[in-house]
Amino acid sequence: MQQLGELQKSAAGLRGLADVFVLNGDTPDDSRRLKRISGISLPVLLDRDLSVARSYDMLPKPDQPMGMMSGVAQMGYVIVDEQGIIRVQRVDLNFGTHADQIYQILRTI
Amino acid sequence: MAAPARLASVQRELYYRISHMTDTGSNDRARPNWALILGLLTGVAVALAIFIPALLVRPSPKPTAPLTSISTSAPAAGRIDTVTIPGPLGGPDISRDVNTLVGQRAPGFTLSDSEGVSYPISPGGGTPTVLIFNMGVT
Repeated sequence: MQQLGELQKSAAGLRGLADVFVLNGDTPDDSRRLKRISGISLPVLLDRDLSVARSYDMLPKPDQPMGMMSGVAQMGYVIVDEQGIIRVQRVDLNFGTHADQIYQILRTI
Repeated sequence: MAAPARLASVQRELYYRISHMTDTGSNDRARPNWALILGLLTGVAVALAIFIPALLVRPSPKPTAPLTSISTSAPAAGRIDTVTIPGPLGGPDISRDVNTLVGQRAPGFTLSDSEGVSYPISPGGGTPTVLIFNMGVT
């Protein structure tokens, strides 16, 4: 949740370069609470069965940070270029703190 | 030996000695200047002793953020791009590339937000897409 708060600081800049979505397995009530506490202004989409996380291979794996967890998506991000090709697929526990790097990658691809 | 021949021989010997004499009267004109040579060699040795260790301990370039060179094909456009993507930050316990799907077409999907608004996501419409996966409130 703290990382979403960090991400919010860069939300405007990121939205200037890309369509940005937050995904998690929350219920609608939990999602409202998450948005209220974190202040995130990006769309937060409910991936209840984690099917999207699975299709992007972003479920935890044993050799990854937080790899022993289950029932949640891995923390991180996927960056898709303007032609629909996946360019970055990264586990990052500090994705909000590292939002500047996401911004940098978007300017690179 | 005849006197003229003997006289010519003495003249040659005398000419030789005179031509090889220095101002001090000694004839060591062709002797190398060992002091100068020794000084030059000492200078070279000192220079090497100073500069070789300096070259060996020369500081390495500053570490920079790790870079990941990723080649991806874009079949829709029929071209191949190779760009250098900044690598994960914070060490492998914090961030790590998965990259099992890099270079492949991103699957589309439709999800709703907490208010029931539907978002049909179809990456590749001319704008990059960023999907942030997180744990939610749990």
